[in-house]
Amino acid sequence: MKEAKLVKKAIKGNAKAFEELLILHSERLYRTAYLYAGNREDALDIVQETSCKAFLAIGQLKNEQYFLTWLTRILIHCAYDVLKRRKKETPVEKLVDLPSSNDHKVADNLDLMEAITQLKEQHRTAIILFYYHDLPISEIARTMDAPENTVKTYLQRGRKELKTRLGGEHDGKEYVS
Amino acid sequence: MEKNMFHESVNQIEVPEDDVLKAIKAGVSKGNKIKAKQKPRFKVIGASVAAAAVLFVASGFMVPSVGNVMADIPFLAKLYEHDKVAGNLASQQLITELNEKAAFDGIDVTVTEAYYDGAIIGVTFDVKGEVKGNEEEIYAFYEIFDRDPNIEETMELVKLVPSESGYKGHVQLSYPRAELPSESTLPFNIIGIGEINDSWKDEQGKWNFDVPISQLPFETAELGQESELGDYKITFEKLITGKSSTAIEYTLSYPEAGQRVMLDLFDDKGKQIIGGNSDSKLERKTDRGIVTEKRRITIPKVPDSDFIEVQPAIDAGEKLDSVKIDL
Repeated sequence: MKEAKLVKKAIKGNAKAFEELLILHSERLYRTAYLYAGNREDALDIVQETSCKAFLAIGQLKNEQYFLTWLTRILIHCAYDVLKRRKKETPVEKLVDLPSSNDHKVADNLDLMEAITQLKEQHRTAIILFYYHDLPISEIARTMDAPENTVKTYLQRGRKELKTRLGGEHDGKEYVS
Repeated sequence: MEKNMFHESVNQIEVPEDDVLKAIKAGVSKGNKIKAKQKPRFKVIGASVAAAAVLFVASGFMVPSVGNVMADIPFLAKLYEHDKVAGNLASQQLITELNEKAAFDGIDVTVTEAYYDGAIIGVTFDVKGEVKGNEEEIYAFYEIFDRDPNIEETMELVKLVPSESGYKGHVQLSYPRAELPSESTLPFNIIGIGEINDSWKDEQGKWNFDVPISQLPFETAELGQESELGDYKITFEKLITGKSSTAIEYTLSYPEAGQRVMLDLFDDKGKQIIGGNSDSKLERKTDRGIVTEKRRITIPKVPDSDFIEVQPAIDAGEKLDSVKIDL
């Protein structure tokens, strides 16, 4: 069934259609959650909370085409909640799952993941939405409820932070206009 | 930093597919329950308990802490009056009387009755002592099966009913595992009693019980009836008939990316059998893109009917052939 149809059904309160929709986007939801949480357990928690909160609020979604933006926004809020809760418990550095593999590439990617989980919240959101969700600045601004120029600043600062943490080796072309 | 490199990195995050699906389903099901509680319930419950339900619904909106907890915890305010199985079993004198006590912080809890009929378990307990809060708004928060992560809901709130010597609580649940042992114990731990407290969900059990439960006599009939449509297949395996409840075990297989299958039940007069049914997953396997689930529908009564007609339908609306299961 086409996604637009599912969104319409979901808005009308069809739980199964809503579940189907989330399943369609499940990998992206989980990976985005993981980018915030840095570990599987919290990422799953974020996905579950997002599913619950989004289901309760789906009736209020006015514009079907923004379903994914809307869902992502809920996920980000849930991720912030989990992070807040966690800050009280354990330092963030200790929560990134470490790989057992010695593979150099995996280790490099892990550095990046770890660096992302240590970014400031807003910088992290801008980076994830831009680099992973491939959203244009205008859409990121909508998701984050922030002016476009602010988003550009978040991106620049986020990239700078990442570069510092990763020792500058991953820097490449600039994509932000 | 380039986008490709970022994508490559992110795509290396391993996705635990089954767990993600579980998380989504658990989230939606939690949302669904909260939604259901927000609707007026007068139509589905008897007049005798309507007042209690109004109080409960209203309190959820008026007291912020109740609202917060409700958002996080499945809320099943099952009063004794709701439980038809218990009522029927009590009238047949089939409920085991117990006297298992636990004390904590000036409050004594005694598990007084338990039953285990076919696929449904029920437990009744008395609460005495220094319970804090408004007498009409007293709750117990409990966990079952030691919060086993393989079971969908293991923590619940129950509203307690004032009694002569304190309060009475009653819980009912569908047995969540495939096997039905004749003698078993239910790990049942009460975490908090009184006014709902947000911190309960982070606390441990204080009144802990292993409730001995004897399986009441039940009959099992092998079925082997099937219904099929394309890649969707349902095999009805077993009919379990208890003294006061009925359960149908079935195996459902469907493509991994496929849609969900819904089952509607009807009696021999074409009347839909609804109210308190549960459809729980006992096992799930995925092999070469085909998901196979073992599931059990439990009906909290023995329908007064010659057969149950099961009408399966795929979410998109396509119907599979219906199957008549003789009772």
